Amino acid sequence: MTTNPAALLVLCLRVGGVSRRRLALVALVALAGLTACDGQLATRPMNDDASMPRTDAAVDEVATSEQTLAVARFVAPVLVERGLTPDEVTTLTASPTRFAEVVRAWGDEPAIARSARRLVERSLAVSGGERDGIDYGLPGRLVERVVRDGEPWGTILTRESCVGRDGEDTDCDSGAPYAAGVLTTRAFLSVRSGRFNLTRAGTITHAFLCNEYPLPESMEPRLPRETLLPMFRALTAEEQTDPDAAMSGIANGFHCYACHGQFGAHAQLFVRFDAAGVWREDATGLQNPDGMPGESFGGLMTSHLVAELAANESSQMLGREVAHLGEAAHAVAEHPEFVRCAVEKLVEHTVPATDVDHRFTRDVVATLGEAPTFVDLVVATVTHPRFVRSLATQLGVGADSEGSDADSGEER
Amino acid sequence: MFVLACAASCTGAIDGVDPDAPDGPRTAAEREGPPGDPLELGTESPRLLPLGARLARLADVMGTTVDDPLFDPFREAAISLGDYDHSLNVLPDDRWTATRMAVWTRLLLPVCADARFAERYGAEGTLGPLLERAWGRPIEADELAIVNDELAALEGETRSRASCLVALGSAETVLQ
Repeated sequence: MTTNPAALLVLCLRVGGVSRRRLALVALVALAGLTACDGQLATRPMNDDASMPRTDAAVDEVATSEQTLAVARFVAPVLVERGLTPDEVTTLTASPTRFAEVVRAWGDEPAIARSARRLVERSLAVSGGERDGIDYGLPGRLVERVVRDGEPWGTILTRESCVGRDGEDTDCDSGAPYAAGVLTTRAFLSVRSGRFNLTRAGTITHAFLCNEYPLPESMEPRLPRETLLPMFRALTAEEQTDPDAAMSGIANGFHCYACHGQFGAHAQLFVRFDAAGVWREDATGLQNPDGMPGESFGGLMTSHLVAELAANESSQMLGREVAHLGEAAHAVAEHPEFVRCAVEKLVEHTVPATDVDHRFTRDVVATLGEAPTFVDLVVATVTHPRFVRSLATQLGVGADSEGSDADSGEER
Repeated sequence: MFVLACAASCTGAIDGVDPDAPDGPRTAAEREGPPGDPLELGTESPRLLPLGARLARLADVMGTTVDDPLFDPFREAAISLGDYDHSLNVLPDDRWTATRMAVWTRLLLPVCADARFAERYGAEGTLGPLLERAWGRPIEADELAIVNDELAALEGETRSRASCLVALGSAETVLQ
């Protein structure tokens, strides 16, 4: 064979703005022995701008069959690890309004559970096998089970049991006398371990509420200042009475309470979990004088709270008093921002989006019933007319395209 | 670390009152602007498809199932092909790098030499159906013409394998 396979390796690494047609040609160009490409291969004229819809008002409410097919072809490999079947193509060609029905059927395929697993594993940075006695696959298996069994998506935070390698339900492995789905797995707790438990607390806010500190007071009232350590209750440099913190020159007291009045509540939920993710009844939450700031004793982390409250894991989550992390997880899963955030994460998971519109995610949530499943979220999101029209248009398939990508001009 | 964390996080408003936002910080939903596109598609770099999706395309081309032993070497090389494993400190990275292309192409060689490929696409490789299965979409006439032109000088088994590598080694097969 005269073809040099090595030539195939000389491919573009920079393909931004390259049409799908051009991507297809990359290997071919390599085959032909070209040694460089700059994303300008097979230059093709852009569509006539005047023919492309630019605003919602310029396109029909319902996406065309070409748009629907383009979107279905784009998202199916990520969601169900395959392309469209001939039957699906036939259905969508004839009746694009049946897109939701097609996607709903994807929910019966094991691959969609694996897709959900990838979403969560990547979000939490937890995956893999066993290391140092910690099963890093535990959170992912729990997510797969939730999706496969059609449990509400919020169950990933509230499930009472985890799933063993044998597929059987098993206790989550932290040893805590309660469960909180993926949150009470040693894998999550250990990779998100950090001083003052700030990383664990922040992960809940980022990964499941798509928010940052400081949260609105209406969403999370701050803890009373007098319950916090001086370094966290400070609002001004004068109030920063902790000598170590003040000496640092950075933790100068300015505005600390604004964030840590909320951080403290969330971090307190983890005060009994050590760095290896094991729940410890002997936790004190007190600062180890020989440790770094934020380190307690025996691999545990320091509480934000004053000594008499430091060991108590009851706290507050989204304005609700909770006895422990298990109850806090329910508060998160039942909060409206949880489902909206799930839609946002789902869009980012399904397409390489750099920005997701909040109004869109809220619109999607409005179409959902109570306690939606992952498949409910997928159907409502990727078949939403605005999603289909927007993605198709950005893929180069406008509402007035006539049937094939050839007419669509510039594509990704 | 602590001081950094404190410095990074102590940026909010005193007692919830920020002169720039007197009503306090807003939820993500409240921070939204006027209605726009639901999403902005990233165009910096296409994203590597999950290995399962890539193998599904190979299986579709070969007329086999994904769990066919023919694809075991791909599964064994999952990390090299872009899979992740946090327990091994291998983080997600969706780029289609030169190293991954090399591994993918090397693993494709036995696939392209497999008798089932020749059975389905003929000794010279029937390009149209092959590309449609590999790329998961209809192929346009001019695309086919370009590929045919490039392969015109090749014959028989050489052409068959080149067709296979073009189809399955293409970025269109492995990227979203």
